[in-house]
Parts: sequence; structure tokens; C-alpha cells
Amino acid sequence: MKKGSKNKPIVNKPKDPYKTLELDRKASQEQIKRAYFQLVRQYPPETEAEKFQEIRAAYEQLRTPEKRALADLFLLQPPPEKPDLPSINYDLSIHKEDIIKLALEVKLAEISFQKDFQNIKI
Amino acid sequence: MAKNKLKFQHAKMVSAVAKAKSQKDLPSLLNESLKLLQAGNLNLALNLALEAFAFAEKDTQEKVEELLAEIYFRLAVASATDFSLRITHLKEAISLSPTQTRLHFFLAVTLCQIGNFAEAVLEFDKVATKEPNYSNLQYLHTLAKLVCNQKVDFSNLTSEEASTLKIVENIISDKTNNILIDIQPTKHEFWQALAQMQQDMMASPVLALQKSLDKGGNKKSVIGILEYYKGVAAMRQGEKGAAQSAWQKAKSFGFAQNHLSTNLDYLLTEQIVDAAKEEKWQQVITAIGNLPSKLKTLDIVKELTAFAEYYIGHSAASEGNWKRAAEAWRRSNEQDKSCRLSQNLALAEEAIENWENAAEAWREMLKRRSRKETSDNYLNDSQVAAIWKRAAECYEKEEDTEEALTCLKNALKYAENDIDLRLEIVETLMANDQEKAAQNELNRILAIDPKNVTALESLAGLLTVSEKTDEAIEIWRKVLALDPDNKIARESLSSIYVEKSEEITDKKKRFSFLEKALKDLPNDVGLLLKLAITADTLKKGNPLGLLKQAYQSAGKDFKMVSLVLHESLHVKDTNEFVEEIMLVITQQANLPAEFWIVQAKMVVLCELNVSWTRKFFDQAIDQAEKNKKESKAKVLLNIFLTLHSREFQDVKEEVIEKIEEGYIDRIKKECPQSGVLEFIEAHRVFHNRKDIKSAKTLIKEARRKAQLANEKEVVEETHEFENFISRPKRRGLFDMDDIPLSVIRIMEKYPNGPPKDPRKLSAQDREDIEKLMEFFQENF
Repeated sequence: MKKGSKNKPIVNKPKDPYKTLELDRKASQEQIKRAYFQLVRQYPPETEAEKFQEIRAAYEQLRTPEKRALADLFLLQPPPEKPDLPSINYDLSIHKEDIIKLALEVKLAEISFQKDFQNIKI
Repeated sequence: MAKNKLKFQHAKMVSAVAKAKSQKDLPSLLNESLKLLQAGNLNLALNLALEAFAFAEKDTQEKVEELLAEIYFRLAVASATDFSLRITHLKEAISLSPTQTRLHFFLAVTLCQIGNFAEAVLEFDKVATKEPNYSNLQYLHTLAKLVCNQKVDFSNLTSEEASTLKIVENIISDKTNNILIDIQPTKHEFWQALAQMQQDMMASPVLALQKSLDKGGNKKSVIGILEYYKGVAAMRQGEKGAAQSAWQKAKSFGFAQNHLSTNLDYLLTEQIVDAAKEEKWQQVITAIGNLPSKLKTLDIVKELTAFAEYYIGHSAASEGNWKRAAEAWRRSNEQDKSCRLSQNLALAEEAIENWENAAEAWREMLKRRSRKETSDNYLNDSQVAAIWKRAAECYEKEEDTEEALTCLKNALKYAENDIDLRLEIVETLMANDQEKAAQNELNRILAIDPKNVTALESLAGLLTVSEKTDEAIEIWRKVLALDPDNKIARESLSSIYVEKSEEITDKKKRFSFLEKALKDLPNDVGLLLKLAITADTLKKGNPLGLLKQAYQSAGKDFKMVSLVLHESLHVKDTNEFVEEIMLVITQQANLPAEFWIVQAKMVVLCELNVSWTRKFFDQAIDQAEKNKKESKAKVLLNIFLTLHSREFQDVKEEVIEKIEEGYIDRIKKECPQSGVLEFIEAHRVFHNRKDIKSAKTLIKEARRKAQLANEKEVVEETHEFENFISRPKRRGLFDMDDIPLSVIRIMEKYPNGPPKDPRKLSAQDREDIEKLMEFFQENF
């Protein structure tokens, strides 16, 4: 059933908070905290208000494991580890049947069965 | 000539055969058969010989059998690679002439060719018994015995043959001794090369094998085998290109062993694996596209396809190319059933606003999640609820409120106490016209959190709409108790009190009711104004004092000040006070002239003293002059249009004329070239005479004049009017879906039309009536 239009923006479409905090996706909570304080010192709210807000918003998303788990749901996921790529094992052995056939065919190349045709006399 | 000669000979032969058959002339038949044999016409020769055999006597039978055996032998030789047919012919020949060594020898050779070496040995044995020195017998007999693992004697072989077969013996018996190195090279160097390859898995005698091939003179089958092993040798050196080329040649020379096709398939697969190792994902996809279909179904190929598409999608998404990312991930999704792929796909679909696809991808992600807490793909209850909410948002974008509601309800299963989520469900239920369900949900929220102001506000709003005003009042009071400054609660409660007061016909009771209501909402402008008017009619208290109190409460709220202005006109002896308010209002910065036109309109609609109407219209003209940006001509036009609008259709004509008096003269005097006069004429011609053609001519003239006078706003009005008179009248019924809900509501509430006095309308009603007017103007 379709009803009247709704133009609510999709929530949770912020910048990747890990990128903002210059962190790896696997960073620990401790690393997140450290990165936040370091960046806040670098971009104090008095002089870098906009950047500070961005950093603050990013930190808010990752501040607790619970919040982080929710934030992670709406972030681009990196590709999985590459699968174990198989090494191709070519068959590089000598096959008996080929050798036997070769021995046979080489000799048969020397034989002519036509020469065994007989002259029949009635 | 030659052709005719042949025809003649054939006819002669047919006639001779027919004659010989009819007369059972055996010598003639045999002669004809022999002639055919010598001419190479083996099948006809066989037929005649068989005819002859049927009536051959004992003394002639041996001769016929000799002939038949020869024919069968030659047929066997002619049967080329059809070994089964060859064996049949040879067995026929042997049955007719068992002593012929050549027949057994040829049968033995053929048995070797089909790989039946055991039977071949027996046939070679027969040959050896009869003719031990039969040409090539020793070599082939020994070879067959070797294959059958029988004891062999190399002494009767030439040194060349012995060397070859010794190598063969070593290879087929898996002997890896150095004897091979001591064996002198045969005339075929490839034996030595192959022996080396057998002995040492690293040996790669490409050159030696190539040399043998370069010599030429080999059978096709021999070339096929040698090319294959040249490819093997090249591959042992890691030369994939050379190997591939040699193996392709082997295939073209009829080498059709499984190990060749397996190795060729491996070559193709390895190209993909190599590209994947180097993370050249597009190359991987291209290479897979070129694979034969049987290889595309290999697990590794399917896995790599999905993986490469995942990477391509990720890289595109990282560059902001979400369309490409979505396309790649959709392809990857056919094979990769991971939770995280659905997650990325959902994000990409959202980015390109494919909301339904996005919602489905979110749902798919939930299906794919692991239920084991230790898994990376495990989602806790909050996460599951968040995803359901997200899917709901996507459906809402698609305006599919039903699916959105389903998703929200699913989310609720994982977050029962999530008030925000429940409020969102309420909002969606209301958007879906499910007021009763929304009310139930609000009651559930309030059971969890009785002080939730948002839920209380929504519930009170719903009760108001359902006209359960007493219940609504109680809820609004609760809101105000929790949040005394809540503007919505104050305005709504005020509106309900005003409406309820209007239902009380006994003015004294109404007065008491309003006084009581003001205790709930002290200084409420609406209630004070209502009380002032009631006091005025009762000649009780101090109406002017109440108006002044309302004016003070309105403060700088311009909307409220204008309400005080209008309501004051309903009270006697307030002219001075109204003039005072007008003075304050005129000082308001950027006040549009339209404000005074609206005030004037309300005076007429409320059937108040029309002198105020003229006063407000005059004020509008002054305001336009004061503002400078506004055109006097436009204001004068607006006055005319207001007086002739639908809202005024029930107002007596003499009242309209009385008000209008003087404004037409002002137009003639103050802005005669503005086009307004022509506009007014067009309006009259259209509405009074229904003369569309003349109206169009006049409105065009009005526009021309307005353009010359640079009266932009008048020009705009002419366009609007022309469009209005030119549009085809809508006929037939409406599709109910086209009618806004607010319009339906107001039509149901006031089936005989809304009250003329705007004060009798709530703010919501006023807004909805405006929408209704717009709707009718647009559609009729």
C-alpha cells in the first residue's frame, strides 16, 4: 500500500567515524579514546569548531562498544580476506598408455599391410 | 568417350554376372569377383564371391574361400581406424583361411591398437609358431608381452628395437634406474628424452623433443604424443605459453587423452588464479568470461567470481561510484551469501536511491546473520532492531508504509522498551490512517514511560481529532504539568477551550467557563479575547481591560497582535484602542500591504462595521507606498479581486459596492496606465457575461500596458488570470485518492460549509479550509 510522500532523510549517513579519527576498523576502545583526545588537542573547539564537531560526532559513534556495534552496521564493510588460492597441479608425468601407443605407432609407421595383398588365381 | 566406355564395361559385367548366376556358372562368378577385387571394388567383389560360395562344390570351395579371405583381408586394411570393423573382417578371413600368418599378425596388431594386448599376444604367438621370422613380429610381440607383464627376450630384436623396448619396459614398469643413460640413443631421440622425463620429474628436454618433431616423417598420432610431452617438458620449465602452444598442437593432431584436456583447463584456471594473486580483479572477471562453460561451474571459479566482484564493488564504492558498486555486488551476491556483502549492497542501493532493493538487502542481511554469539556475523538484539528500522526507513522512502510498519514491528520484537521506536510506529500508523492502533501503541508507551511528553502530545492530538475533547484536555493538562512552557499544549488547550466555550449558549455560563479555563492558561490571548467579547455582550466586567491584557500577553507575537486587533473590533467602544494597535502594527518592519487586505477581508466576513474595511484597505495602499518595493496598482487590483472573490459571494452587492466606491476612481487617477483597469474589465466580462474571448483580449491588453508601465506583479496576475480562464473545466468524479485528507476532514466536519466567522474556527480548521479553497480553485 502506498501512501503520501515522506521525505525524511535516511539517518546514520555520516562520514566514516574511523576515517575521521584516523583509525583502523579493528582499533581497540583504548585506541579510539586516545585518537580522539589527540585530535581534539590538534583541533580545539575555539579555533577549529567545525572540525572539532566532526571529531566529536565520530567519537560519539564509537565511544562505547554498544554504540560502535550499531555504527558499524551502516558503514562500508571491507572485503573479506582473500580465499586460499589453489596452486594448480598440472599433470606433468609420463603416462604409460602414451608410451605404449608411441612404441606401437612408431613401428606401425614402418609397416605396410598392402604389401601383403596376394594375387589370387582362379 | 572414357565415360561411355566405362558404362559399356559395367553393363557387360552386369549382364555376365546375371548370366553366370542364372546358370550357376561358378568360374564366371569368381572371375567377375576377382576383377572387381583388382579394381578395388571390394564390397561388390565380396557379394559375388559370397554368391559363388553358396553353390560352390567341394572341389571348388577351397578356391572360393581363398578369394573370400583375400577380400576380407583387403577390407580390413581399408577399414582404417574403425578397429571393430577391421577385427570383424579379419576374423571372417581367419575362419575361411586359418593358416594365413598375415591374417593373425594383422589381427594381433589391431588388438594392440585397441589396447587388448592379452589377446594380441595370443595372436602373435600363433604367428611366431608358424613364421618366427615374420617381419616386425619380434618387436611387436615383445611390446605386447611387455605390456602384459610377460617375460621377454630382447635377443631376437635389432639393437635399435631392443633399445627402444628396453626404454619402454623401464617406463611402463616405473623403473627409475640409470640403465637408461647407458642405452645408446635410438634413431628416435625422443625415447631418450621421454626416458629422462620419466626418471627425473624435473627433466624438461624440450629441445630434444622438438628435434624429433623437426625431423618430420612422423605419423599424426606420433606427432600428437610428442607435442603433448613437449608441452609437459615446457611446463616443467615454467614456460606456460610454450606449453599451451604445444598442447593445442597435440589436440589438433588428434591427441585426445584426458590428461591433455585437464592440463588445458588448468592453464585457463591458472590465468584467473594468477590475476587474483596480483589482485587484478577486472582481469579475473574478463578471464572467467572467456572460460568454456564447463569450467565456469567449478567451485574455485565461482568463488573467485564472487570475490572479484566484491573487490570491484568495494573499490568503486570507495571512489563514490555507488552505481557500479551496486552492480558488482549484485553479481557477487549470486554466489557470495555473506552477511557483510548484503550490508554493503544495502548501503549501495541506498546511495543510488533504490529504496526497495536496499530494504530487501537489509532483510537479506538479517537472514544471513549467524545465530552463534561467537561468530563474526552474529548480531545482537539492538543491532537486529536497528537493521529492521533501517529497512523500514527505506520502505518509507518508497512510500510503502505497510512494509515499513511490518519492519518496525519486527524491530520491536528485539527492542520492546525502545520508546523512540514505538513513537516511530505511532507516526507510521497515523500516516497509514490507523488512528485506533496508534492510540493503543501510545497507551503502551505511556505504560512503560508515563511521563513521555511526546507520547502524551500525540495521544492528546489524536483525542482532539477524534473529538474526545474532555479526554484530550486531561492529557494536555498532564503535558503542561510536566512541561509548563509546552507551546503545543498551550495552543491546543486554548483552542479546545475556545471551541467548547462556543458550544455554551448561555453567555453567563460561557463567561464562567472561560474564567475557569483562564486559570489553567493564565494570560492566554485566545481565552482573554473570547472572555472580552462575552463580557461585552453581557455588559459585565471590563472588556477593554481584558483586550488590553490580551494585547500585553501577545507581546511581540505579531500573529497574536493581529488577532487582538481583529477581535477588538467585535467589542464595542474600542475604536481608540484599535487605532492604538494599528499604530504599533504599522511600525512593524517589512509589514506587507497584504496584511491589511486580510484584516479588511475579515471585517467583511464577520459582518462588522464596513468603515473598518475601507480603513484597512486604505492602510494597505499607504503601506505599499511606505514599503516602496510594493506597487500601489497591484494593491488596488488586490482590493478589487478580494471584493470579488468566492469568499465574498454571499456578501450583499450593495455592501461590496459601498466598499468598492472610490477605488476604481483612484485607479483611474493614480495608475491609469498600469493595466489594472483593463484587468478589472476582463474580470467583469468573464464573470458577468461569461465572454471568454473578450476577456482574453482584454487581459492581453492589460498585460501589454502593465509591461510598459513596468508593473511586474500586475503582469504576473494577468498570466494567472489568463491561465484560469483558459483551462478546461474539469468534469466527472474525482478519484478519492486525489483529495487531500485535510479537505475530506473539513468537508465532513462542516457539511453545510464552514462558519463565516473565522473566530469560530480552530487554527487547524482555518488551515484546512485554506487547503480546501486551494483544492477547489485548482480543480474547478
